[in-house]
Amino acid sequence: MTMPAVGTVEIDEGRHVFAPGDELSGAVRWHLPEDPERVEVRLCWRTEGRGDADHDVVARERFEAPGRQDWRPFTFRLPDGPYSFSGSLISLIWELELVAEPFGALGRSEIVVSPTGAELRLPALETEDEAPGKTGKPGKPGKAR
Amino acid sequence: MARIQVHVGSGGRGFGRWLSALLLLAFTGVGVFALYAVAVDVWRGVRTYSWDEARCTVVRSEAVEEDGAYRFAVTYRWTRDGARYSGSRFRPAYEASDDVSEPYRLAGRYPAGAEVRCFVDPDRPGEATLERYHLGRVFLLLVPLAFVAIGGGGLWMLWRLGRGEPPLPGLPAATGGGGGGKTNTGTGCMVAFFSVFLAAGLGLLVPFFVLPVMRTFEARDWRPVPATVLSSDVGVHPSDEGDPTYSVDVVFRYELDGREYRSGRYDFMIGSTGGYERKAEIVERLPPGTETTAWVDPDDPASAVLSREMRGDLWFGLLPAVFVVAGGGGIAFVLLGARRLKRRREAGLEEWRPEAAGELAAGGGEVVLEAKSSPLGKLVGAVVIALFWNGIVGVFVWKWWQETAAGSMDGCLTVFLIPFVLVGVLLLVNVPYQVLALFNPRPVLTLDGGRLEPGCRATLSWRFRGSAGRIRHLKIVCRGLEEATYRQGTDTHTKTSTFAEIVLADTSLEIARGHASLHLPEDTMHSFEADHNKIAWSLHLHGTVDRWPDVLDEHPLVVHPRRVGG
Repeated sequence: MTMPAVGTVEIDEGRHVFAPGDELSGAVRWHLPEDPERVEVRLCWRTEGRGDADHDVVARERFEAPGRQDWRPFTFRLPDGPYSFSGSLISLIWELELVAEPFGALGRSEIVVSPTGAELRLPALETEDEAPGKTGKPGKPGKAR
Repeated sequence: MARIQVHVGSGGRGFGRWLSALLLLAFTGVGVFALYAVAVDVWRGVRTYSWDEARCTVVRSEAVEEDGAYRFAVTYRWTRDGARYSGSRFRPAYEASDDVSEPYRLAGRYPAGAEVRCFVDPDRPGEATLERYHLGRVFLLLVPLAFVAIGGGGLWMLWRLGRGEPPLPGLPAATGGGGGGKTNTGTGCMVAFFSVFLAAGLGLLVPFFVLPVMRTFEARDWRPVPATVLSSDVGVHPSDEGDPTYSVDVVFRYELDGREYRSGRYDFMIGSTGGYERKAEIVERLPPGTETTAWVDPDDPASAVLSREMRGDLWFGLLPAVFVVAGGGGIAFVLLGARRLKRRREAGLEEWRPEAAGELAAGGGEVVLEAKSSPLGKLVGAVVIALFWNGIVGVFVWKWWQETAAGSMDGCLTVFLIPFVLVGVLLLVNVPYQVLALFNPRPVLTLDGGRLEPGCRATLSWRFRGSAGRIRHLKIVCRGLEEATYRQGTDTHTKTSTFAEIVLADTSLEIARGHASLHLPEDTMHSFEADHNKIAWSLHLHGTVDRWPDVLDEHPLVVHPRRVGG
């Protein structure tokens, strides 16, 4: 039976909330059934919610000569934005992602990037569809996720 | 902006890339093959421009009909270095056509027994032509070249994508995809999109309306000569859309200055239209053998018509003007929009995108806010949309009118058309509304306080150009909006949700000029724009005017994320 490809992303001190500009450090570990072509950790954000998903890799660190079973430390400097937020239509989520080719994503760890120390919550005062006359009513503040 | 595919293995992506490459390669191959064939033809034709000019004697010159097409048949002789040669080439790539007057025109230009100019190949004196190659045919090269460009361009992009994928360790991915490049590409695509409408509109408007009208006016000076109808019939042209279209197919002969000519032109309209009865009436009046009068161009005796009148069908040729206006207006709108966007970007007013953070950090000081769209822009937009919509609906209304006038009203079509016509009427009503709005006072909004960030304070000042006294009430609101775009089937929808609303002015007194403090909450989201999701901030101004369109303006704002360490 083939051993599955597994991996984890750990952030120093178990921290998951950061301010823009903070330094983020940690380590990734992986265990693969065969030697990988390449292994890297990515700092990225993605959107969830009503709209089609957007995502962007803001930074990545690729590891030299990755082994089949290995661990490596990493450090990123967080950018000014975008902030982590959740509105009635859109949520923006930051995460660290461990990717080994050709196995794909092995592990993820979500983080919050916000100057207030928490994900921003955007209330829904009024919603409207693209088509005229389909105006929704003041809704409850809620997460798009 | 960098795009990643987290769960897609390299195998699947590789297969897709290879398949794309193969298809593009095939596309390019077809293009190269066709390009070679056309290029050889063009080269052979263009070479006639290096041939020697000589004198030829026309031996035979006549118009012949072959399988419904008419061709100029000519034979001529020439002498070269003491040797006598004969040839029958009129012009390289010359082909028979359905225009009956053309071979008679050529026969008049090259009558039998005449000594005319011809061109002889200096390397092969037995090769000659009466006329040189038509240089306009060089443009035929563009067709296969388009195939090569699309296929080759696609392969090049595929190769670039393949090269660009491995990023440098520890550095941000996708450093080249800034908002400016994307906007330029978008502008180019939109201009190309509207150019298709413009080109198609002009391509139809000129031959179907402009030229017939011009020729109708020119024909006022043409000469009347006796003519005999040789054949007449109603031409039936099957249509993919359903009912066939009809044309008056008539051939008549006439003589001018002792030479016989033939023409197949009843009037200056080209193509065919619906409505059998009118054409049948004309044909009934002109059975073969009818002696009638033809109107002949004194400068070109081979050009003649039986009728110099403008038929009602001619106005049908004006319909493509809708596409010309939509295409031209669209191009102007896109280019003006791109120029305004550039100015906004230079002023630091464009939406915040992560990769543009450094570029925008320089914004600050007093900024005059530009409206999202000017009254003139709104009017142009209203005209273009109204023309575009009503032009398309008008085709169906025209068809409906023809059927109704003929006593065969289609009830289903009538019911189907009603909502479209109502929308068209509303769009038309919007045009004079926007014209009236042109004369409204124009607000000038100024923001002072430097870079806008969550938690910051700024001062908004306003004043009006024009008669602000006409405004009875003024309301200015700062609004934060979530905007999500998504695809559902083949449709793209956009949903918006307001998450912040800060009333800055709500007054019936301080209207002509005033100022207010804008305080953005600490815990709100800055401006953000990705491909499908957006956080947009803007100022909305609503000036109520009695018995006149209100002053409605939207001024986009950029709220930056807080400076790190600031």
